[in-house]
Parts: sequence; C-alpha cells; structure tokens
Amino acid sequence: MLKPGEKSVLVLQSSPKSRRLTARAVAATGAHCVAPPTGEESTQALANGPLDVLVVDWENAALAQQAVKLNPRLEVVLLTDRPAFERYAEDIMDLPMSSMIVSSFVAVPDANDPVATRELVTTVAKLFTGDIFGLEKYMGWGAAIREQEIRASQQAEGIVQSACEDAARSGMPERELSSLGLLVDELCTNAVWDAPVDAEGQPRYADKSRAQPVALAPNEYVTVRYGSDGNLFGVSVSDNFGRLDQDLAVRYIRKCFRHNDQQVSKSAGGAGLGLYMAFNSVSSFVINVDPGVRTEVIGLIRLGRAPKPPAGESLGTSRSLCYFRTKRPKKGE
Amino acid sequence: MQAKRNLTWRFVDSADLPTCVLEGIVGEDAGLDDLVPDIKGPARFDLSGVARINSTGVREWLRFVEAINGKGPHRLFRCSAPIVAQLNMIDNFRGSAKVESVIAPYYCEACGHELATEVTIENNTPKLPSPACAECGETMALDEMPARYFYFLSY
Repeated sequence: MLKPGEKSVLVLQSSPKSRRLTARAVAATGAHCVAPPTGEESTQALANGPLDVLVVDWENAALAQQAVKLNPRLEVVLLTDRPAFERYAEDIMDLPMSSMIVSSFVAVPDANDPVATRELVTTVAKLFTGDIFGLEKYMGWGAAIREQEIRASQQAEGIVQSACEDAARSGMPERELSSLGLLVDELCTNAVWDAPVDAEGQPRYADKSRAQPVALAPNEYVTVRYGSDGNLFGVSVSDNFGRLDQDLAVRYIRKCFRHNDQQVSKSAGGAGLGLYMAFNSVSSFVINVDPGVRTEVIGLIRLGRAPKPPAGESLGTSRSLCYFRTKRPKKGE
Repeated sequence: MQAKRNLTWRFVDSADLPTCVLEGIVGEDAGLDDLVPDIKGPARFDLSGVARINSTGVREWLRFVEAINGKGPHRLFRCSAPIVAQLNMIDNFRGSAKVESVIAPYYCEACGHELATEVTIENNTPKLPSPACAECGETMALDEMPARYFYFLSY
C-alpha cells in the first residue's frame, strides 16, 4: 500500500543480482519499490498499478511497451548491459523510454559500480521531482564547477582548451582529453549555431558555415559549465531555446549506428553528426529540456575505469542516454 | 607547407611514397581543399598528430578523400584515436586507402600506467604488441576490446 505522495517503482530485471542492486538504488530515492522475481509476478505487478517509474532490462523490454500503452504517463528507464546495447541499439532507441543506462553493474556478478548506482538514483529522482537541470546532480558534493559564457562563436575553442586543461589537472588520461575536446566542441557548436531561432521560430544561424564567425544576441548567449569530482569530469552546455526534443535527438544519434552514405549531411550548415559524436565521446549523456525555454546537455566522462568482470571479456565502459523534459500541468490538472 | 587556423600539414622525405603529416584539429576551417593539388599520385598520410576531428571536419575530410581517391592507392598510417573513432563510425571515411597502422591505447593493470603505441595492420589483422610497462615492468595490454577498436577492419 502506498503512503500519500509516495512514488512507486517497478523493477523488472532478469538477473537476481541486478534486481537486488537496482532495487537498492531505487529505494534510496524514498520510493516504494517492487522487484518481482518471476514473469508472472511482474505481469501481476504491472496490472496492479499505479506506477510512476518502470525500470526494465532488455529481456523485459516488451513489457515496457504494454505498460506505457496502459499508462502513457509512465516513465521507463532501460537498464541493460553493453553487449545488448551494441547488438540491439536501433531497437532500443525505439522503446518508449525516457532514459537508458548501459552499465556493467547490471551484468557483472560481484561488481558494484558506485558511479552507475548514483546515476540511477539521480535519474529516478529527477523523474519523480521534475527538478531536472544542473550538472551538480551528477557530481559529488564539493566539486568546484567553473562557468563560462559564450557571446560569440570564436570564444568556443578557448573554452574547449580551458576545459581540457582543467581536466588534465584533474587526472584525465590523455586519450580521454581528445574525447572531452570533441564533446565541448560539438555541444558548443550545437548551442551557438543550431539552437537560436528568431521570433517566428526560424533558425538564425543553422544554415551558416561553422567557419563563419557569429556574434550572439544577449538572449542567445550560451552557458558552459564544467568540473570534476574525482570520479567524473562533467560538462554542461545550456541555451535559452529548449528546442531539442527527444525524437530529434534520437534520430540524430541513431543514424550513426548504421554505415551508409546518408550519415553526413552535405548541405550548408552542420554535418548532422554533432549529437552522435558528443554522445560517443562520453560515458553519460543527459539532455534536459524545458520546451521553448532552455536546453541543457550534460556529458560525463569517467576519470577511472568502470568495474570489469573478474574473468572473461571486458564489457567496456558504461554508457547512458537520458532525456528529461519539464512537465507543465495541463489545464484542469 | 600550408598553415590554417587549426590544421597544418607538411610533406616529409620518404623512400617509399610521398608522405604527408597532418597535425591539429580537423574542422570546417581545415582547408583540406588546398592540399588536394599537392597530392599528385599515391601518397601516405601520417595521422598521428590529428588531435580532434569534429562533425563538420568529418564532412571536410570526406570531400578531401573523394577528391584524391582517383590518385591512389593511398595509405593511412599512425592513425590517432580520434581518427580510429571515425574509421569505425563513418561510412567510407578512408575511401579506397589502406590503413597501415593505428595508435592504440595500452594499459598496465599492475600500476595503472598508460601508453599510446603504434599497432601495425597486416593482412587486415592488427599485430598487437605486448610492451613492458615503463613504470613497473609488467606486460601491458590493449585497453580496448580488439573487436571494437579495430571494427573498421571488418567491413
């Protein structure tokens, strides 16, 4: 029985270990969490409702489709391992989910990944509260976050260099520094050239060459924030337009899962690869949108390694893609 | 030698083919169009100094590859990690060029030391070295799944 105001989460994970770890993380948000061990009990739990969040693995993804049909306001978090993500990426992108966390901790016996656990807690708490913005939600307390503003496109490269210098001082390995540089480069490019629209909603700079300098109007200034907490180096880039909807983001990201001559836009303006390249540079990619008001894209890069299985093939780094949208109550709600 | 804002290149003496060394960032302002006339026949490209290639840089690179493809066969060698990422992700990134070697990340499980070292490719197969760690002497291992890092060899 739910207490008044208590949120309800159903965890459907096939592996008992994953189920236990996931339920433990979800319970940290104060939610009422149910994690049934069998398919029959899962179906029963889905029918019992009401549910706020459903956390599923790939094996239970079909149940998510049914659940969202029954309850369109249900938030779905997919928690799966990297091999499943790499094999089924395109199908995964079709799921009615708000967040996807690909992490070794759900697949590796005896591995517990505090970074992935914290991200799951943050994800579920953001879905509950609607308080979605802020790099700090992903960083340990005490992390110093630096903030810089872009008022003209030429400033972006200086911010890339500055972020990389800070990251190098934070102990980021050389190979990750190039990923960080690409992340900041692409996010700033999107925010400067693609986000701004005029009063009629028409893009102001999207069709211009990225080599052509752009001076932004005050309402177009871009905010870049970055810092390290010793485990993660995080970057957030915000614009004041809130135009990056989930379908658009997924469409851009998924086109690079397949190799063909449609990958790269040959028209003027951007090449259409920026979002994917940014996503591909990080372990966690978070898109926060208040439609028409603000977009904040966050990229997190691990400074250390994700836990590996005790033996056998490495599962690689963890990865996530989370999309959060500010919900406004409809009339009468 | 041609210098642009973020990308430079120079030709170095080579007993084999003309060798062009690229260094810096490949973006929309890379100016690779200016390099096309200098490629008069088969050439080798040392890409170890390419620190970053962004989305518009990929488009510039593809145009460059298309422009010089007919003058090949070309060879790419010492491809940096950012270049390897694009080889793995972007259709036709290398055109008809052959990849001779890449720079690959190595890691020492014993002490955490990292190393970027050249891995040659022969008969479409990476010849993975087993370098000794400069810090502790233990054998270092590739810090990536081979199938993932060398995915471009599979298509």
